[in-house]
Amino acid sequence: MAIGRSSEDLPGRDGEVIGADLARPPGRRKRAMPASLDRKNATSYRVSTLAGPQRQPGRFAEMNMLPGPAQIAAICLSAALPLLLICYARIIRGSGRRFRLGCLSVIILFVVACIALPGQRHLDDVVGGAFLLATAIMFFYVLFSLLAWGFTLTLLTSLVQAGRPLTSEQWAAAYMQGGDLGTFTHNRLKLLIGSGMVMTTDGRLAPTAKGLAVARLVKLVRLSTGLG
Amino acid sequence: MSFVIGLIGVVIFALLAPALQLIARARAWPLAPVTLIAIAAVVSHALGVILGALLLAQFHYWDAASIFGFFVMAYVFAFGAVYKSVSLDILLGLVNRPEQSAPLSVIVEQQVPRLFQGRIDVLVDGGLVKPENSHFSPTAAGRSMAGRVGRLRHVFGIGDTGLYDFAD
Repeated sequence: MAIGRSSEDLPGRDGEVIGADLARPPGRRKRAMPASLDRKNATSYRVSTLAGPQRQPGRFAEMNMLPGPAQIAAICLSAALPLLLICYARIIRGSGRRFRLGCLSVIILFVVACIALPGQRHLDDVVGGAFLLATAIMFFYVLFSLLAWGFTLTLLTSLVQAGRPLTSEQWAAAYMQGGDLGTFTHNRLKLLIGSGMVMTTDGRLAPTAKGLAVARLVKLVRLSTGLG
Repeated sequence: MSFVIGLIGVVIFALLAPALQLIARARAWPLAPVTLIAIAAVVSHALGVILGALLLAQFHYWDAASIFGFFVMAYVFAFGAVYKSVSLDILLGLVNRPEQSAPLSVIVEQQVPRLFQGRIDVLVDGGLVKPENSHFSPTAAGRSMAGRVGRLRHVFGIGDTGLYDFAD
């Protein structure tokens, strides 16, 4: 696996090496085209935004706009993740388990793609692909968790499903589908207790050391993100 | 080096996003926090790309975009968790009490109804629900959004309870 992509190993138009061309005296340099397609590596496409080989400091450089092979694989797998989740909806029960399996599937497929794709792998291409896939997984998790466990959205859908105006107490009962806010509280507390952040002693709930650390972290994140 | 440009974009975003939240709150801008984050992401990404094109001889856009996207999504993830998480609100409610503990009844009868009321206010302020005397009913926008959410839940095979399924 090659480490990085230096200007020396980037072939230019018709396979000529841009780095070598830059090393020539200015008068002997060939003029670069505004955009060039590397014929040895069809995934390398550069847009010369201004100066080409006679670039001066502070001027716009050549910008490689096409992703590498591993990055293309990651982008395709990112687009496939919601489709995979739709397919899994018919065969796997449980939203959380389904999402985890969907993520595992695209990660395995990405590793397979990195091994199986023809040509030399560049570390920055693979690392960039991994970052792109992780970005997509987080993006879809945010949307998926809102759909599956979103409190506010479920409140809205329960009010619409009731089909008539409700008082706040009736709305809470409709949200819990016959249960009460105690059921909801137990559900959320089960998460806190199960993850070791809260414990029950003598009928009272208290944060554990882990819970206190998480609470401090939450306050720090709130402060640093401008939520106060 | 393109990754470094992506990281510089992340630093710009990490400074710009909270600054926008604070300014928006101070000046009462009618913009949702998520919209402000999106604005910060677009501006910082554009600045990063311009910087990369100016400073690097060979700027690889997707290398910079990958690391930028990753850290910005991590930020959004953390922001979403601390912004409206019921579980974390319950945890903070316990930690902030002088005795750092409370009976379950206090959580059920005082804290959760407050959270519930807070979410009702969000829906009313967002124009999705309208209060009528002591009752609440969905607006046309609320019905439309609930319909879209219902269709998406159906397609993804998600139930409509909003509760965690610990059988997972």
